[in-house]
Amino acid sequence: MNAPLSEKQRRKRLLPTAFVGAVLSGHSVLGLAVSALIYLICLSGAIVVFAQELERWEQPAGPVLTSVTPAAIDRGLSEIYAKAGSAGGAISVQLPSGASPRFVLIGGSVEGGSNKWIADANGRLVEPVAHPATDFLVALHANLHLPRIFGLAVVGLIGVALLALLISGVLAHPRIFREAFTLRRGGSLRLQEADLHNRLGTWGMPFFILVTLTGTVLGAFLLMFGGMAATAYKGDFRRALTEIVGPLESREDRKPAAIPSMAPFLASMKAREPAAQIQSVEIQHPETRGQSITMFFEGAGRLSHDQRYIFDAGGQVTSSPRIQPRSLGTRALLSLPPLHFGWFGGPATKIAYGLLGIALCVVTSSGMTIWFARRRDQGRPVPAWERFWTATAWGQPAIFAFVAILPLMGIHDHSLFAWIVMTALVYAAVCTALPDKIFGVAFRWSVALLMAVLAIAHVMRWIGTAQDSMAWAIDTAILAGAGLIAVSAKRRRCAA
Amino acid sequence: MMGLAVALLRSGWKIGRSRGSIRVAIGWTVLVVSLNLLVSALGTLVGLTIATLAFSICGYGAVILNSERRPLRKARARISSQDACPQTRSNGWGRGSAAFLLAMIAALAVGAAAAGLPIGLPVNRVTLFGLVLPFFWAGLIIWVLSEARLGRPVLGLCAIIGASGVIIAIEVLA
Repeated sequence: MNAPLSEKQRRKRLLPTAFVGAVLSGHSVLGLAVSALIYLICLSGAIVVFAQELERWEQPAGPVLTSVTPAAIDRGLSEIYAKAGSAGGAISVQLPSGASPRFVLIGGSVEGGSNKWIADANGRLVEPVAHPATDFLVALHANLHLPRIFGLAVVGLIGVALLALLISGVLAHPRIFREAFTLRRGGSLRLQEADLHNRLGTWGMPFFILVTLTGTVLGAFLLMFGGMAATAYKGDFRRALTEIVGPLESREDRKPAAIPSMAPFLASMKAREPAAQIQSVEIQHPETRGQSITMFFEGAGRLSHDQRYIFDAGGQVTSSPRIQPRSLGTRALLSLPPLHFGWFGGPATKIAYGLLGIALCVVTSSGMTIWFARRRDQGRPVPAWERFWTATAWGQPAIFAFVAILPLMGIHDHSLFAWIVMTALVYAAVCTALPDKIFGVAFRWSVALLMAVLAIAHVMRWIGTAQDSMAWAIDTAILAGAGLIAVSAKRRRCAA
Repeated sequence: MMGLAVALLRSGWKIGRSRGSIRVAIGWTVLVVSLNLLVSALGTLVGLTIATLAFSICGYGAVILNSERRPLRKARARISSQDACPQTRSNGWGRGSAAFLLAMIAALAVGAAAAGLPIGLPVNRVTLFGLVLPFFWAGLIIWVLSEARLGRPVLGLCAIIGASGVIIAIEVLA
């Protein structure tokens, strides 16, 4: 993919040519083996960055709040406990915030019903939480819809493979600095795609390494943690977990007692952490004497995902960042989720995460395109594999749009089934007699069309009832995305 | 500032290594200073992450400004050429198993052995090696996939697993 070098330039190379060639070979093999899964995880991840916004988009009709009173929290807790019991011995409330202006109550599971409800400003349950398309995408990104622990480990392994691709990509590109700003469009397809692949990869590298590393540790945590905790804690896993996530269980006194009012706990919290923004409140073992109240909060300048105070039923603090200051290691571990998803710096950070996530998808896709172009240049084309890749790269966004349309048509529970069927249909299309160039353009048009249908159907479904303006912002963004893809499809057709 | 740093790097690299070295040096300096400012203003982790995002987006902007358009040209098909494609590699399954399975076992064994070393708090060791381990693991995968002969990395990985096993046994028995 690089132009021939002069003898002088060759001498100046930092790494031996044979080494670069060997690493490039490994890079190609690994890329071919895992790029489809990497693409799927990266594409869903780039969308999941906006999960909170998508949840609001999917359900824009509930009350939009900026704050709630302690009395509303008390009423909400009583209502959810009466309605849904406690999940795993706990009930909780998520308080309205800038990112999610909803008052959400979470209880145990109800047969045939939901355990998560949206409440109004008085704490009355209004409607069950329902965002199946967002839930589908989050689960696809986190564990590929495989059984939870196994799926997480698979995603973690894919993360390690992506990290290997990133490192080998740097090693296989000896002119990384000299060509840092070179982007040749047009000319030969292989050169164009190589420039795109290398430039996007070079400048996005720090971000790609950040999200890949955090994602790998989150995914393969149990795999790595098991072995390390066995030696670091001499097999005492309970101590290991307690040191990392804090006390695991509250007092085991199961005698009945009323759920206490939250007002004194909230006041106590505010007095201890005046700058803190309380995000959620959880009651472990409600209506027992051993119940404990945990308040999760966001501290100024802290990224940690798990800042919390734990009170016993009498109002005594049993655990807090001041009583048990987190070690550097614990703080680093608890910072991984917000760092991975970009949930710490407001909309600008999320947009940057989303754009760079899409850049990683383009890097993955262009890597495949380079390999196909190289095969064609060598007189050994692989048209079936090219079509397979086109079906993956453009089919998945089309399927995501289709899955998001289903709830708008009243189909709420079959997202995974629809994804499997549509993925099978998309790959079946690879075998059709459609000419290659039309095949690619048709997929692009399908994505644009389905995205436009999604936005229009959403507007028609919620116009007049939506209370959250985020719905219209997301619809506009989807329409803009559909327009951009339509323009690219049109250009490609003209070029063809 | 991040944009200025990228612009200086761009102009320095554009005019060549000898004449542009001062601009490149200033560019790197501005980059480090802006990183430092972000870290001191926003905290280490948030500052570093925002710097990462700004660096990438400024870089993309500079690349787009520097892009050139060429007339479309179709490459001539050749019958054969030197290539680093998978067909030149034998032992596909063996290599794949070694790259994923053996490298995973070796990396996890090294992580477990390192986490047992009596240095600092256990939670800090678990975190530190937990964050370093994926890089080591990725390095092993690259090694297995890049070596022309599969035997060398397989032997190397077995040696790593053996040595780590001995260290783990000593740590557990001590």
